[in-house]
Amino acid sequence: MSKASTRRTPAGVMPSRSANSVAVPGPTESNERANRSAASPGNFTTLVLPKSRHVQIGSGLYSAAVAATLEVSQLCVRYTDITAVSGVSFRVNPGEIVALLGANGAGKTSTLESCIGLRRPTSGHIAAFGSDPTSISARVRTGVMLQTGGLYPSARPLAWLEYLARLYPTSATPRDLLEAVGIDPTRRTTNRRLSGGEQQRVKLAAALLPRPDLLYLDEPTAGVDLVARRSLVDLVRAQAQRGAAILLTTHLLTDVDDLADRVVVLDSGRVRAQGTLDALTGATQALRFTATPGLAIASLQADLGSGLRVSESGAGNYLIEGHVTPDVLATATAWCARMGVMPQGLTSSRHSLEELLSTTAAEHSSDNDSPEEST
Amino acid sequence: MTRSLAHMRWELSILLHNGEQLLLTLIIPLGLLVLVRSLVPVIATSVLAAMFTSLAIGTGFERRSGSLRFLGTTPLRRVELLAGKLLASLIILVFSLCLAVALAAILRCLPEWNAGAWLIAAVLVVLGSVAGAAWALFLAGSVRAEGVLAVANGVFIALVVTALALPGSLPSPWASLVMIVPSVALANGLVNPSLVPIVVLIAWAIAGVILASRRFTWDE
Repeated sequence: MSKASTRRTPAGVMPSRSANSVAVPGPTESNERANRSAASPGNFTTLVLPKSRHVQIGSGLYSAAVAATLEVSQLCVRYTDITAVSGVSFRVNPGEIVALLGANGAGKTSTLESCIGLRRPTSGHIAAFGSDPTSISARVRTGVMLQTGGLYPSARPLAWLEYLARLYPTSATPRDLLEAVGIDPTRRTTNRRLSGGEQQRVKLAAALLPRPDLLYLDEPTAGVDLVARRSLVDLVRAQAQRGAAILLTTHLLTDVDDLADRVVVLDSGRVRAQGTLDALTGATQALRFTATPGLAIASLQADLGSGLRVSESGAGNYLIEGHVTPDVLATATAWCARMGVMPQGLTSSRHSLEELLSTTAAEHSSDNDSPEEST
Repeated sequence: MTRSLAHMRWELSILLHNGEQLLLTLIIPLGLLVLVRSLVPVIATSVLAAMFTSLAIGTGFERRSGSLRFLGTTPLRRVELLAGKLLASLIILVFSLCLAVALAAILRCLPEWNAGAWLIAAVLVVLGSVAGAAWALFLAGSVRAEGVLAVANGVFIALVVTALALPGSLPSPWASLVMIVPSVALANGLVNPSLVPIVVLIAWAIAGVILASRRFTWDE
């Protein structure tokens, strides 16, 4: 099933992933547009359900308030002398994979730990399945894969999973799960003697044990070889396909590319951007070329206007960032002609995720006073 | 309750697969009994070994490995985890005491206690267990694992030695002071039943529970 596909679950109709690519809270124009097209007669499998709206499902009118599986509102986490998280809000819907991204110290871990219930937020509100994430009713539906810890060192993987299975009212079969993650359940090696990648796989198996409706994954593929990574990515995607909401943190942008429906970019404890990858990376484009180093780019900036940003990164590598149109291309080449230089390697492209993160961090490096609006 | 029992089973399986824990909780008390031919200090040693040192070291290393932190994300509540741990330690302690009593009978060094004395002994063992477990959890939940290992072993040796050297041989002010040491209170209460050792053990238990509930954290 593709990432943009729509599914039905026992809980109701799931929102389309692609159409749900908007910042929280509340509906946006794209959301409304998707609703209008989706709620046509006879079409009841493709719906976007903004919060507390009446939508038509089949022939009936229902008050459809599809609750997010996880909803974080104005989360603040302060330690003795620093504010790790400040006013962070986002939601994860059923069947959706949301990636928390950001540099070290951006607030990812504090946010994740607060959501899991390992850290008490200073202020703000977190709801899993509409209730306290630390309640037993939420815990039995939640799977967690921690970056550090999560395995009993002196136990064998199967014994550890069999013990954990007894803590849940219902669970998957430990043997099957171990096989699914590529660990031989009959293996007598203790957890501490497994390789880093194997430990990651056992941790993922433990997280999947309760057949979770909400899954937290902290760096799930760290240390995993390429072949195993592929199968883990498929396994995680399968959880979303059966309706689980997944919150993922990772430093591997390939994981984000492969898995995430939406991205929440954190920097200095604040949400700097959130949306689909396409929306975030497509909003900012780039035009690159190489030419004689040290050209007077101020005049090019003047020609292009304030909506675009011109820079020279490295000797002679020029970059124009912003909404790159054919007019921009024409202006740039005309400027080169005036300068008497021939641009080499002229290419236009979208920002990569990596560039997006660097740009976001750079743009907000001096901004510590007020939270910015999500984009 | 089901989760507590599941955790108790898990703790027991871990304890029974750990040679060092078995040495501490079973072999050392029995070895001591063979050496000193007296059940009283062996009872105090068994309580300390199972309910303080073994519990503290096990919990300390679980905390360092992050497995306690992970369990905090499962439906296993804190009270269920602690109940499971304490039940498992109590089962080991009861097993250890049964072995000690049986060995004492074989060695003909069983004290000539009546039913009342055995009942008082049971009360003292329960109070000593609660105090030992509370201090074990306080130590394990607030100090790094290596520190727990050092402190728990050091305290164990010190308390066993003081329990072996009953305060009768000490000059009067020191004898009174040593009476507030929990192992001494336990051993002395077994020999000379009175209210003082019971009060001392209750005080240690209350202090331990307060400290553990305030200072215990799930990860280092």
